[in-house]
Amino acid sequence: MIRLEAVAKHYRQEERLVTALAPTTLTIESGEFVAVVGPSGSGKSTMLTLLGGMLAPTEGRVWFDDESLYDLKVAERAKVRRLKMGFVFQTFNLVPYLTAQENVEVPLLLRGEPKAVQRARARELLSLVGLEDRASHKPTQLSTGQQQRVALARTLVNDPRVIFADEPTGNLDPDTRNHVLSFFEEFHRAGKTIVMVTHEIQAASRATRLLRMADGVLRDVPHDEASAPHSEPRRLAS
Amino acid sequence: MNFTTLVWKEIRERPMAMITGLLTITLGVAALVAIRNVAFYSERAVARELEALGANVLVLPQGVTLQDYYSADLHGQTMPEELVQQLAFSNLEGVESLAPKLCVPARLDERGIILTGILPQSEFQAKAAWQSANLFSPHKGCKKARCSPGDGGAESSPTQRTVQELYQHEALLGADIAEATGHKVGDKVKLLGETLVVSAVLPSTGTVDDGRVFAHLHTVQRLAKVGEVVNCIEIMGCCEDVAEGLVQQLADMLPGTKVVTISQVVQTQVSVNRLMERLSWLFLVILIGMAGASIANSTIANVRERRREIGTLMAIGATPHFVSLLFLSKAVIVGCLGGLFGYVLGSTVAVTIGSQWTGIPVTPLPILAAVAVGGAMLVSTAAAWWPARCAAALDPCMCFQDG
Ligand SMILES: Nc1ncnc2c1ncn2[C@@H]1O[C@H](COP(=O)(O)OP(=O)(O)OP(=O)(O)O)[C@@H](O)[C@H]1O
Ligand SMILES: [Mg+2]
Repeated sequence: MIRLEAVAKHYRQEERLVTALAPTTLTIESGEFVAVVGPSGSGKSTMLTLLGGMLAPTEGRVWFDDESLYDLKVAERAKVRRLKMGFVFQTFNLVPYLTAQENVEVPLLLRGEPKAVQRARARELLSLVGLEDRASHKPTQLSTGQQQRVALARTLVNDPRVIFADEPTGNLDPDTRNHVLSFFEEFHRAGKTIVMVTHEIQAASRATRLLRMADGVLRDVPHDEASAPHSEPRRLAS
Repeated sequence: MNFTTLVWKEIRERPMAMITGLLTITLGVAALVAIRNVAFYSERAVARELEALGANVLVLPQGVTLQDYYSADLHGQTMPEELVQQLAFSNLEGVESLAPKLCVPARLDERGIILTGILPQSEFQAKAAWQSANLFSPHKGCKKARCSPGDGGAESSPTQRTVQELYQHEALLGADIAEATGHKVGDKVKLLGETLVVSAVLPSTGTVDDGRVFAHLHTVQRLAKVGEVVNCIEIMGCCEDVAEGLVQQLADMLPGTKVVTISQVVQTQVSVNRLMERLSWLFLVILIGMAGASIANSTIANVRERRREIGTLMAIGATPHFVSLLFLSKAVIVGCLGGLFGYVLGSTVAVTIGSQWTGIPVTPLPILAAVAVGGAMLVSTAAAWWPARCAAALDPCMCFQDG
């Protein structure tokens, strides 16, 4: 369902060309739970934004459901994101001046859902993540773990087919991390696709497929290699 | 939640960000509204004063002063009536009406009165019809400070205005004289040895006209045996033309007469009005420049501080159009509020300080509210246009970057 076709991304930094993603061909099937690991600066976020239709590649094509994402108009690409994709960020990115409830309502507002539907759906999702009693709190009045749960509710409220997560558990305590990961697993069990960038072995071990990124080069890691205790002592990325 | 809520909540979150823009718009609009408001009433006051004076240009025989004319138009000096024809055919722009007058002393029922001869308007129209369309109809340039608001007509003052119809055997009685003598419409009155029929009693005007009797100019000339002469010609001219050289043109055309403008009486007020007119243009430029720059500036700052939020919204699926609308709506709100506050402040200043300084009663003009709000919204939206487009062109991927 998602395909990178000889996709590369170069950045120009003061006369120097930085290759964030070397030419890569990759297919992610519907229903896969993919973890992407790799050292800092290796190009993981770059790849994720390319997949999510938010960053045009320098070369190649990104296919999503038989549509070449970057051949679409900006507004059409936004529509694909609105209807089919969900994003989870390391820094949550809640809208600071909206309450938890309103933050969850934003994607529905963008879809033009009526107020009543927005309210009901948002409540439903907030109680799913266990935050129905925090509905009227602003992000600053929530703990980091609670903020990520609100962000998760915001991602799920649209019922996306794919979730792109960039270090979703990086800022979380173990409890919330588990909480978030079990949501991902449940989402995965429902037949949906997840692409998750992570630094954590524990998080990566929940995935069904592991990709390792190094200096802009992506390669599949067989599962036994990833879980071998000596090859990666504590963190996959080092 | 709807779109408006989103915009409002952001404004409430960072009210200071729009304070400068709001303040600039408010002050600019307030200054404009105050000036326009006072100017409106000041222009009206000028118009009313001129109307009270009747004509705004007088053609008098040489040697008669404005003071003579005002103390009594019975100064005895005359000039030929043919000057009136000359004027009527001159096609001079800015002349709205002509009223020649001849005043002679007479007696009515043993009472000393002034009999004033006037020419009915119909006679001019008949003559001017084939000649020119300019006369007696305000021309295009004459829209401001018209000296005769409304069409006037015979009902106000016959000497100051014009009487549409008046036959040679008819007389018009001023309100006071009619009351004093008890004459009614249809009565016959004897004046200078001839019997005339009272065709109308004029409503009270509060001027000397109330104590006068009017008859056709040619009748008065014949009865007083003075020949074809008049004492003066009152001209109602468009104020702007009067100010801009009509007097000189008249003087050139009618040598041997004295052309004076009554607007000299209200000259200071006219020049104050002109100053206010210029000031309001200046303030308009300042408003557009300063308020525009201020709004543009605060919108740019707002876009910058909301980059992550914009990126997030776009990641969630907001279109560039949606994003730019977020900022434009904010500008519309700021413009609307600024226009409204500015109107209230400006009207308050006009009603209090303005009326005190000019000595003219001033009340708020509701039409200015619409203009102020509409104009301020336009300026503010235009100023926010470019920053809003920049916001729409931002990369959504920036929300992945830490910061
Ligand atoms: N906007 C940009 N302009 C120039 N270079 C960039 C830009 N964004 C990323 N890069 C470069 O591209 C490379 C990959 O960056 P990327 O953010 O994808 O790394 P990452 O694997 O996500 O790192 P981290 O684990 O620290 O988040 C880095 O060398 C980075 O400096
Ligand atoms: Mg990253």
